[in-house]
Amino acid sequence: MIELQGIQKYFNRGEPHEVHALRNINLQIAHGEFVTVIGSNGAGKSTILNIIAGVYAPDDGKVEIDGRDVTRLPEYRRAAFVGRVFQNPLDGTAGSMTVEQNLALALRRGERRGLQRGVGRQRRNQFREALASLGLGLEDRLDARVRLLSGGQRQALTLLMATLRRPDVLLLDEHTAALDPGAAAKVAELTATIVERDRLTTLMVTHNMQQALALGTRTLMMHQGQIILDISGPERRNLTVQDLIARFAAVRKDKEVIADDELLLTGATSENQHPPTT
Amino acid sequence: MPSFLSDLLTSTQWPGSIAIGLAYAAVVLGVFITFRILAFPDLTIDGSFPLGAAVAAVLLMRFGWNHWSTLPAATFAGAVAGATTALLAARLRINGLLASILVALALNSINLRILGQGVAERVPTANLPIAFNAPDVTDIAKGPMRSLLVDVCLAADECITPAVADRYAAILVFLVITALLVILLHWFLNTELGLALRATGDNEQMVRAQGINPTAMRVIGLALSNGLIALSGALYARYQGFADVTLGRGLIIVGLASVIIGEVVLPPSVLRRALLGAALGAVLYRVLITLALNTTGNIGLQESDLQLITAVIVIVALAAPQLRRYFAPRRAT
Repeated sequence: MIELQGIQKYFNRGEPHEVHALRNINLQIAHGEFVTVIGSNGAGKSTILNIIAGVYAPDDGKVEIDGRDVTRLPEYRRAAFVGRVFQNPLDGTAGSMTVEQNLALALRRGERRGLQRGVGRQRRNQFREALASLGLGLEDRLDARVRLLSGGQRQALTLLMATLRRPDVLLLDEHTAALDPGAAAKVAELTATIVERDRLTTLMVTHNMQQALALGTRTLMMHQGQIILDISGPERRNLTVQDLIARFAAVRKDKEVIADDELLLTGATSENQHPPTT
Repeated sequence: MPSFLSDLLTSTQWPGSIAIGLAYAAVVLGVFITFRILAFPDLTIDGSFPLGAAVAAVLLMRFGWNHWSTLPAATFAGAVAGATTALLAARLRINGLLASILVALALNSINLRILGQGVAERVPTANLPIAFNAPDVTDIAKGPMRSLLVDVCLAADECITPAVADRYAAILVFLVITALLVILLHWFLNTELGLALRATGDNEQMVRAQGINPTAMRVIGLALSNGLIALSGALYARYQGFADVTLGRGLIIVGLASVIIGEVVLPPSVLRRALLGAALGAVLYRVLITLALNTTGNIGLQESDLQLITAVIVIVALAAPQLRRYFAPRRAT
C-alpha cells in the first residue's frame, strides 16, 4: 500500500519563477490497485511519481510504502520497494551492456551486490524464460547490447527489469508515450498482463485518456498540483473519454474560480497559479 | 632485416621500452576504468602514480620491506587517494575533475613527505634513488633469462648481454603481472558488483532505479583505478631505479593515448578485448615513441619532444571522428 500524507512540493522555492508543483496531496493506494493518472502538462503527475520513487523529497508531508515511512530514504535505497519505467526508453537500461547483464542488475534490485558472478548458466536460463514471456524474440538476443534494440524492445525490457523482482510498487511514467503506435500498444498490453499476473500495486501516468480508462482499476485526474478527480469501481467502468473531458472542464472551472478568489485574497501574481508547461 | 632483428634483440633500447610499456599497463587499465567505464575524468593519477613510486621506494630502501610486499602497500595507498577524490566529488559536490586535481595537488606535498621518511631529519625529498642491487620483483626471472639468452649471438659481433637479458626478465615478470591484472579485472567487472560499476558510467538514472548507490560505485571504481596506477608507479620506480614526485606529470595523456591506440588496434567489442587492448596499447605507445625518436632523429626530434609527440597522438585520435566527418563525401539531402 502507498500512502501520501499532506505532500507539498515546490520547485525554485523563493525565486520569481517558483512553482507549487504539489499542493497538499493526500492519497491512499491499496494493495493490488492499478491507478492511472492523467492531467495537463505541469499538473504534477510526474512529480507525484518522483516523490514516491524518491527522486526528490517533498517539502512537507509523508510518504509510506507498505507501512514504512520512506520519506527520507534516498532514491537508490527506495528502489528495494519500487520498480520503475521511464518515458524515455533510453533511461531504464544501460545501452552499452548486454540484455542479460541488464537483467542481472535488475535481479538484485534492493539487495547487496557482492562478488558472485553476474550472469551464470542458471540465471541465463531464468532470463531466457522471462524474456520469452514478452513474446518479442529477445530470448535469442541475451548477449546483444541493449543499444541495438528498438525503443519498444528497450521499454519492454525495462518493464521486465522493473518487475523481475516483485516490486511493492510499480511506477510507470508515460512509458508508452515515446513509442510508435504499434510498440506502444504492445508495451501497454504487456503492462496489463504483468500487473495482472503479479497483482502489482501500480501507478501509471499517461497523456492518453483512452489508455487511462482502458488500463487499471482507478483513475486520478490532476490539475495545478491537486488531485481534482478520483474515480474507481462501477462509476469508472462506464466512463467514456468524453465524460472525462466534460468532468475535467467542469472541475477546472470550479478550481479557476477558487484560484481567482485566492488571487484577490492574497494578491499573488498570476504566475504562481500556472505552473510552466514543460 | 637481420640487422633490425639483431638490433631489436641485442640493444637495451627495445626490450627496455617494452618493459616500461608493460610497467605502464596497469596505468592504462586504471585510466580505462575511470574514463571508459565510469566516464569520470580523473586526474588523481598525477599524484597517485608518484605516490605508488614513493611508497614502494621508501619501504624498500629505508624500511627494509620485502620487495614483493611493497606492491600491495603502494596499491593500497593509491586506492585511498582515488577514494578520496570520489568522496570529495560526491559528498562535497565538488566537480569531479576539480576534485581529482585538488587531490593530485595535495598528493604532491604528501609524496615529498613520504620520500623524506625513514631518515633522521625527515626532510621532504623530491627524489629517491633505488640502489641497483636492491631486491627487485624481476629478480626471479633474471637467472633463467640469463642462462637462456646470454651469449646467444645473432651476428658475429651482436650478442645478448646480461643487461639485455635482465630486460627480458623484466618483460616476463611484468607480462605475468599484467596478465594477472587483466584476468582479475575481467573477473571483477563481471561480478554483480562489477556490473553495477559498469552500469554507473552508462546510465546513472537506471542505476539508482535498480537500487545501486552511484557514489559507492565511484568510490570503488576510483579506488581500483588509482590502486592500479600506484602499483604501476611502484613497478616503474623500481625498474627505472628511482622514485620522483614529478613522475605523474602529463601521465594522464600517456594513459589516454594508450587507451586510444589499444582501441584502434583491438576494437573493443567485448570487455575482454577492451582490457587486452588497454594493456596492448600501453606497450604499443612505448614502441611508437621509441620508433618516433629513432626514425625521426634525422629530422631533429629529441627525447625532449616526447610530450609534444604524445599530445599530437592524442589530439589526432580525439579529433578522428570530426576529421572523418569533415573529409567524408557529402551526400545530397
